[in-house]
Amino acid sequence: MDMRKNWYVWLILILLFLGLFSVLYLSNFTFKFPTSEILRIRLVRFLVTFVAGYTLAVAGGSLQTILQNPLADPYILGISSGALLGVALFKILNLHLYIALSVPAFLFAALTIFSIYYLARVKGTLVKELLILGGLFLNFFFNGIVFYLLVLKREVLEEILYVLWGFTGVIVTSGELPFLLISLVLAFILACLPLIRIRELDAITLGDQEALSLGVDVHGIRNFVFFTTSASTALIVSITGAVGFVGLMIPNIIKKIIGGKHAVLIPASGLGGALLLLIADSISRNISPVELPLSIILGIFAVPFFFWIIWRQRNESSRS
Amino acid sequence: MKVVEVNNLTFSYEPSFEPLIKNLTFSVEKGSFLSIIGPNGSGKTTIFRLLTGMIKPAKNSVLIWGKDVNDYSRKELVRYVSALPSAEIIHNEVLRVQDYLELARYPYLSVLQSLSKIDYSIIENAKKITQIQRLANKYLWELSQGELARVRIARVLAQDSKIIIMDEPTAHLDIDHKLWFLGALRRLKSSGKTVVTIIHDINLAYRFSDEIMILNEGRIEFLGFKEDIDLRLLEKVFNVKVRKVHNDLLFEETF
Repeated sequence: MDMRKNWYVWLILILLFLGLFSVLYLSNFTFKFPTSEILRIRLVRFLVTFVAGYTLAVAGGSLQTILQNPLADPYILGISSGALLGVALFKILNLHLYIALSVPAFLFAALTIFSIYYLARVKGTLVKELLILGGLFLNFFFNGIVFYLLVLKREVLEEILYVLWGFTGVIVTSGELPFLLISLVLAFILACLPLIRIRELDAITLGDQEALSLGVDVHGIRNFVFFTTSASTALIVSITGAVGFVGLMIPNIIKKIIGGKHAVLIPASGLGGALLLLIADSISRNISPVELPLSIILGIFAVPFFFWIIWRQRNESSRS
Repeated sequence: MKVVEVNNLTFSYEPSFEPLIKNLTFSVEKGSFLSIIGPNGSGKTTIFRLLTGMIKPAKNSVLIWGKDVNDYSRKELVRYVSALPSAEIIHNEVLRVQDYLELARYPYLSVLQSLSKIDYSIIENAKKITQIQRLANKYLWELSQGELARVRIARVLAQDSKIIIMDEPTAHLDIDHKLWFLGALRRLKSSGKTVVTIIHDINLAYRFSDEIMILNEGRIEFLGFKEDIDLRLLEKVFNVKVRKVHNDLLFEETF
């Protein structure tokens, strides 16, 4: 049976599972109704986790299409750590409002993706290896500076860990709450924007030249995706720090089991990303005496994923 | 009517390099069938990209339907020029044949507008003409080269542009599919379309097209009706011996 014909079944399954898991998450697996104060804290954490997962997975999926590289993702390409640098630079000025922090975060994120893209273009064609290598090195470079800046500010080492590796259990005062919610809503809207460009994204999977010959303004769409992904990533990073691997893993899995047409890929990736991050955060809260940064848990999830990718590639190369 | 006009076109990817295209001037009449032939590195693919606006030529050096190719939006241009780049869509795991043909109607749609009944009937018609109805639900990567050739002609039909410009569309095809493909182009021509194709096989160019352009080192060596080609020019450009046997050309090595 071709699983991709039954994409709606998969979508409903993801939604059901997501709904079920959300209830478990909010009760923190105790099956007791929490007091309103605890519920408020959990609800904030739930929203942050959900939107972060949704946004990062959609960003990864659309970057993979636009760069024609299954390894593209905001974390791997250094967009997240670029945004983090923006955040760190302004944190030394004692600025703490999420929405204000996301402005410099956006500038650095956009600068990162555009410079990587243009550096990886050699004589008009995009060199995939250069793209990933460039992202990798920028990642190390930015993380180094962020580490330095935060140490300078004498933040406790613990906090640096959470910023560099991502964490959704943010503590907000009631004064900060509206700003946090605005950031989340904005990020979610930005993550939904690729939905109005699904035809163009579908066409780009055929390659730049074929897409151009179908009438798609490939250059314009690429800038559009660069803009929306760096803006949404920046908004998320300024709240949670750099969460990795969601944008890498989820769209690739969705493409294989449900299909790569963007009308399904984009929303299914978003929901899948939200689910994965909720699971990771539940583990983070419950398995050790200290809450773990999310990228650490996701990194462990990523290992079987990489084996799966390698296995598929070997199968593919033996087929052709 | 001149549907493609090229005036003093010179192009190189980097300003410091020697130009790949040197001072070309030519035009294509409405309803003609022009084949562009030339040895490797003569600038054929660069011409394809310039004529189809995939790379930007200098201002007013390429006119499509009387207007500078740079002044069209991408969607607008595609309504005039259907471009077939040398096949690169083979490994696509995302789209089915039907999806691909629906994308051919993209230039006629605004954002979020869905396909109309007319669009669907144009697509159905294109499938019927190319006899690919049974392939509609296959993914593109599942197609053989011959099937892919039919699907690409169906795409051109569904796109319904006035001019069709192709880069080596028959390069990977078996001889039966080659003949079918070029026959399909002949029929497109007789339905009023203008066909310009880059082609490697001189014999096929000679047999199917009306006019031939011989390109060598970025310059036009010959442009005109195929009957007027000087065989000695072919010998010089392609470094072979040429004889005419009935209406076909026979090539022999020179050493």
